Amino acid sequence: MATIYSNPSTTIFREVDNTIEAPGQRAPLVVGGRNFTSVTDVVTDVNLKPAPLGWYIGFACAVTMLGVYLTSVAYLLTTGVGVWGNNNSVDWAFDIINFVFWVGIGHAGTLISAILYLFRQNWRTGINRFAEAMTIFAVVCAGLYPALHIGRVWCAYWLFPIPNQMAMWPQTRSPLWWDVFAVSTYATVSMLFWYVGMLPDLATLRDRTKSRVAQVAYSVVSLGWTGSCRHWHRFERAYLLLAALATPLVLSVHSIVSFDFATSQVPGWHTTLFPPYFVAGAIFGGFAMVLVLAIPAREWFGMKDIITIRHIDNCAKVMLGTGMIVSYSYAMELFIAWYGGNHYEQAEFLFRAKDGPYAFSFWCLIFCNAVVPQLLWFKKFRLNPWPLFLIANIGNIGMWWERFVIIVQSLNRTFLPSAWRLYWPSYVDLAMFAGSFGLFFTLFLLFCRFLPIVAMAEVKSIMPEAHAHHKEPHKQTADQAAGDFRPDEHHKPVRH
Amino acid sequence: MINLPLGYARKIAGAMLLSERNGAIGADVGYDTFSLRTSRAMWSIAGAKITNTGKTADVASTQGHHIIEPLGFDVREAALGKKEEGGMIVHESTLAAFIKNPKAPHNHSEKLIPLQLFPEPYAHAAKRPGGPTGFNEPHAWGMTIDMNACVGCSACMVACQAENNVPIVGKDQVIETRSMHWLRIDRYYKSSGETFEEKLSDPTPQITYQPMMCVNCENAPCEQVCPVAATVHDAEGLNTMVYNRCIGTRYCANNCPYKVRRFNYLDFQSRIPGEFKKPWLGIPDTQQEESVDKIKSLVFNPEVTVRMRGIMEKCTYCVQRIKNVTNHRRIEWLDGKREKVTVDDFDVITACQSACPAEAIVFGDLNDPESLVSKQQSGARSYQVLQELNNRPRTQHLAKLRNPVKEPGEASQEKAGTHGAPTA
Repeated sequence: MATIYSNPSTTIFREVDNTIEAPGQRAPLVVGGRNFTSVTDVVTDVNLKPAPLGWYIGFACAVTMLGVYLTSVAYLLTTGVGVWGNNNSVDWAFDIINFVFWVGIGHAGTLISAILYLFRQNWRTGINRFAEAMTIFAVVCAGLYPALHIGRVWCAYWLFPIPNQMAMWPQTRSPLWWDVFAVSTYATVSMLFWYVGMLPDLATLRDRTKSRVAQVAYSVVSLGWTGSCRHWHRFERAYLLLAALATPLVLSVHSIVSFDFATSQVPGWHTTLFPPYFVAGAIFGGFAMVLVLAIPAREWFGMKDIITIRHIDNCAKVMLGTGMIVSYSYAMELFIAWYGGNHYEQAEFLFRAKDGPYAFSFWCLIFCNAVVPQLLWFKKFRLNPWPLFLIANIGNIGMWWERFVIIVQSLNRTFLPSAWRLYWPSYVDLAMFAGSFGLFFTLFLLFCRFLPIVAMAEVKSIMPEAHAHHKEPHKQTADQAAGDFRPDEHHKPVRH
Repeated sequence: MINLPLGYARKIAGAMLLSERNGAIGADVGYDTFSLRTSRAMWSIAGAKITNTGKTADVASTQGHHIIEPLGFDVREAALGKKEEGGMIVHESTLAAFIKNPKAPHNHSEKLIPLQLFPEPYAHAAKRPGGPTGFNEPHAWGMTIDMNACVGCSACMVACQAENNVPIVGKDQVIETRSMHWLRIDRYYKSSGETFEEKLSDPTPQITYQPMMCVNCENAPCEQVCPVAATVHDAEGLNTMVYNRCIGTRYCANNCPYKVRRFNYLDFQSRIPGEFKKPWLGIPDTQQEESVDKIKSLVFNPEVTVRMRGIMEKCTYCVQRIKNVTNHRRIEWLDGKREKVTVDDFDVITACQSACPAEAIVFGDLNDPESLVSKQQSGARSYQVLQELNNRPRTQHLAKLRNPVKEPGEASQEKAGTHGAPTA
């Protein structure tokens, strides 16, 4: 809850609670008496010092799961989609559930890096880099699913508008085709945004590393960054423009993913509510995933001064807010089913909640996404990282069940009762789903090892030292500024 | 007393003799009950003992997929708490009610609102009053299925399978509900009783057979969602399936309200049942050519494409038969041997139609006012299944009329009409 403040010059240690809102005062976002050098130290140490044993163990586990994923994919491609449990009524199941699940997770990264940037939310700097990495790796996991779920994978390029000798063109009315563009645009812009934002930090690594190989590699990827004023000026402009480009994508991608369902005729899919509901759900799930990654990371990498408890608190608040939108959407879906008077839809929602074979999954999602997040109203739960870690995991599980309910439950009971059939995943379904986490964590652990996981340059820009007047005699130093943050009178000076 | 069916089981089957590979179609199917049947007691055994082995066996039944009791309307009705007599999907009434009011079978259905989305020139003028306005050049293919005449014998399913090279998927795939029949016979049950439990325990439920295959919607939901334009409409109203364009996203099957699309989840045609899940390490596109048994390939109808894994298929209205006839008629017309380019009624007969012993399936040109299918579709019993979705199916079903011995609440015997089904 509290963080330790130390001022080396006076050797006064004082606990500062930066989660308290104090009118007229900005809560410090970097604590622990960090200055520019020590911020750089703590971040680059992750890359430049030998990896701890834990990293090797984690990486070995992730690569093993990646192997499971690749084996499943090889079996899938050589044999056919029939290795999954899908059947002639439930034509989409784990493939599209997991696609939507992973795309949703990606959204928090773009929201943090683009929308919060435009809104000048300075706390984003502590978490934006790895949240963006999470976005990209989640989009990789997501994008593979629709590519692999089609019957003839070797013809997947027909989805792209490539002039060809067959004189064929994609069918532009299909939401699946819109998806191709939504997801590929999203992946491209997220990638660019992530990379451009990383340039100054890559240059820092280049300058600090002592390995010749790493020096060459970081030199190449940092594109000759010298930190001149002109570089900084162009960097800031480019970053702003990319943020503006990425902002609409936060809303558009999951809206278009939701069109896959909303534009169809299937009862339970054919709902105008879907775009905002999906976007809110994506941000809810994405922030849950940010917390799942951030809470252990700040612990293991010693980043508690940079990813402070205030950051964690803010993420939990976003989860609560979007969780409430999602809960409202669940209620509104049921209300519209009743109010709309369409008996197929009415029956569908009654099957979902009451009489259907998958009613348990509906109550799972209500519990995970609507009930459990209510705990976040209490500060106690927002400020205790490990209970929050649990709540965030439950949120992710709930979002998976939400997609299960939407896809499998709706397809399982459509218009003609004669075509009502059950779906049960095959072991390949389960292996591919577990394996996709292997792919995600392999990429993520490689990122943690070789790239700066915190945006050092941006974090420094929100420290008091970065302000033009901080050196003037009547102004405070950064340490003092942080030390003077006294929102309550419960501070405890300790003299050493 | 326990009845055991004889037959339906084989240890060895024909295709196995022709192939060195084991597990041929039809081999090792079912259970051998002949060991219980001696020449002394051909039909019954007295004093036989039954012991519980503790083992279980999966029963593969394609019929079971489509059985509606107890999952059908009663569940939907029970969930909604209101009664839907006959329901939206199966239109039926008693003969007496039909004679009083010809609209009686459709009393509980939603209104048909025939919206034409596109104005001229996309919508063509009808070729006859009340005929199709669109996809009618020069024919407008349509079909009727008479639920009154259908006895549920499944001859149409077998005929369709033989005609259209529909794959045999084997027991394990049937259990996974991946049977490939383009035509299925849906059975809808109606039982008496007030509560759901009473309905379930009714020993004599009423049954309606509803043969269901692709109804060739004019406003087809499957076509709008295919990202690669693999299912498109032709000028005569056929919802065509372009096999070699299909990449198998299965979106069409999801969006089909009738659930009549069938996906080749595995390489059903070229592998032996039971071996479908073995990886194929060659080039995918040559899989069929290399793995179809050369003798087995003689069984195929040469006029119909044999579909490979990963693509969607469905009823085509036997497009190969349509094209055979229309091409010949066109040539005759060009040669001056024929007055009109269009076909005569019953020139084109679909496989299911030719096999139906009750003549419940009629196919023909809806532009022709004299064709039986046009007459039937203008009749009082004709309706479109799920017409409220405005898919405008070209296949229409004819409502079932019952003539029960006693009407509930009526003392005297009902004697309206003659024996058998009235013509629409």
